[in-house]
Amino acid sequence: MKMSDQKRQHPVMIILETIRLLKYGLPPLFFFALAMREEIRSIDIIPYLWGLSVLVIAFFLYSASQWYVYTYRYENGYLYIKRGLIFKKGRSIKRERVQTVNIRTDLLRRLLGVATIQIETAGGGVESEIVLSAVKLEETHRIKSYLETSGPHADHEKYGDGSGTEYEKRATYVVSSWDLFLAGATSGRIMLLFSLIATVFSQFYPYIPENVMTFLTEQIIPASDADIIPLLMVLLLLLFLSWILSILIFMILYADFTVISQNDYLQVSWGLIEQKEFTLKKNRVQALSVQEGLLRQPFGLCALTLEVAGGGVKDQGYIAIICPILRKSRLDTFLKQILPEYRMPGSMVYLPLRSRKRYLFRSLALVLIFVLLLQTVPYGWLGFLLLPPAFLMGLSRYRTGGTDINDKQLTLRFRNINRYHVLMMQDHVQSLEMSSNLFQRRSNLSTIKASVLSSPSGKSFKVVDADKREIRKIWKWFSRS
Amino acid sequence: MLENAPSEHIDPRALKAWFITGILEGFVLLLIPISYLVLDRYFWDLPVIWGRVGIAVVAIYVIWEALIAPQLRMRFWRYEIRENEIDIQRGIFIIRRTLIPMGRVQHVDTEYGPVMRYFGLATLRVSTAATDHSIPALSKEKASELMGEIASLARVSDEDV
Repeated sequence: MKMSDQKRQHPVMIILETIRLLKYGLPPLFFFALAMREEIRSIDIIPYLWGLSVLVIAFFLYSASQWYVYTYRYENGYLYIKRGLIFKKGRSIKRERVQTVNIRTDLLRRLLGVATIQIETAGGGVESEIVLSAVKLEETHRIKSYLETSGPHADHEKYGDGSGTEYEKRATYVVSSWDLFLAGATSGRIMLLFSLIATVFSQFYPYIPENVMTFLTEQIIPASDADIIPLLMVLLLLLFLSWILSILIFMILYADFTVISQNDYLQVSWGLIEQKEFTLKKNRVQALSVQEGLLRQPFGLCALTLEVAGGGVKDQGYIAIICPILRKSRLDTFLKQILPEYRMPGSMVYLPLRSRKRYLFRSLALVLIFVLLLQTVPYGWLGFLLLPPAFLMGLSRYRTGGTDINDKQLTLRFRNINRYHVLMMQDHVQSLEMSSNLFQRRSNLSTIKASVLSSPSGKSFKVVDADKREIRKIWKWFSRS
Repeated sequence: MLENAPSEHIDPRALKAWFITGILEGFVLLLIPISYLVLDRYFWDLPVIWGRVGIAVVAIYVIWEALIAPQLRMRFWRYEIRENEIDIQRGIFIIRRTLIPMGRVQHVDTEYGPVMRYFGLATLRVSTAATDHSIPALSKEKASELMGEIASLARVSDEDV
């Protein structure tokens, strides 16, 4: 078969597509059957089976026709798609217009040796993406590498840069399983899972015979008459269970997380059961944030996410993660290898002492009102226990706040609950805003806010109550005149 | 707030336009407490006090919207369009100042409602890929002039990149 021939997807697409149609078609049918059940006897199930098989055959024929009419070919720097049984549709996509090529597989597809390839162009609507749902795995990689090699024109430009020696530059980073384990252990999903498990448990709790329950608790704590102890034990057990589960989920979800930096592209792949992979042109990266979770910060762990321009909306959830877990000590090396244009600042300008009271006030005021309202209920004084954490949070927010300018890079550091470093290049900042209210003006403080493009719309990051002189420096740095 | 605040003010006719808009808005809002009082008078026996409070709130709001806020807005709202960037300052309690590089400008729009049109005023809206900014109440000629200016400057900076 020549390169220029029209190709079809792998025939197993027919089966996969039939299954998909059935998955969407069956539940309504099932409910229909359920609704009819009052009137029919069980012997009458046979017509339903007939109906079902007719449906399966119909879906199968439809899928087969879809498979037959959907053809693609790639040549001369274009990808051509033809489809449609009655209304023929054709489309050609220029290689340079392709934004990302994602390859995905799930369990079934992997058993069959096929993968889904998703090709996105600029725009972001439904029409802007093309999905070939079942193509042989090698073929997906062939299509991907074909669409991602830029034409001769782009190669020429690269030589023009004078950096010809660095033409093929490739760096790989693989997240180790131990790191993933740590990440899962500190992910903070534990509470989410805990509430889930507790809900399930409370549903089943009445079905556990009472004597079994008392027997169990007596085994754990013999001869105790306090009611609260067994309850606490169960809670602890559930907490531990959800912790283990959250570690497992994290490890499976992000297994084999690999980042490859090659020339202008970043390629990221991960997953054990559902494998995901995406490729991203580096010039689409608008900002890099280094997130240190509250639980992760003490262990020197962070996660890296990117703000990315363009691309499909629904992919945003995962396209942003460039590294789910990284030791902070390795951050500099990672950035040098994978995203050399970004650099973590060595030291930052801290907030002036006079903004501390504003941070503390903001953290405490709301909590204090809440606590005072609580005084009307019994045990309301327990609410005062909230004050020290709120105080510490305010203090920590104040200590975290910071800014830095290094050549073309602006770095903002702040904390909501997690600590963030957001690294932005000057030409990616869409607009810069500084603001100050009456009180801030009185003590020469300002808030700085930088907005970057991040699909589907923009995103902005700010540092509150910074010294006005520092803000003015940033302003000058950003100003073009 | 910075010593070198942007140089241009907005059109003083904006005061009148905002005054009339505020009054009109007040009439519409007044319908809520009045209908409450009507319901109270003819249908149910509701506490009259809330109707009166409502009217007072609307009155204060109108005084603020029609008389005080426009003056303050007038005083603080500035803009300046330079070759490479747009500089906007706005706000009453919180003064915000925004800097938009020309190269980042995606598109410029002008828009005006009926009151604004009566006074020959228009709002200029500047959008980047991530944010939206507006300069309210410019004279219509000025707005379209600026629109052309920004559009051409933005094009020039695009070529620079």
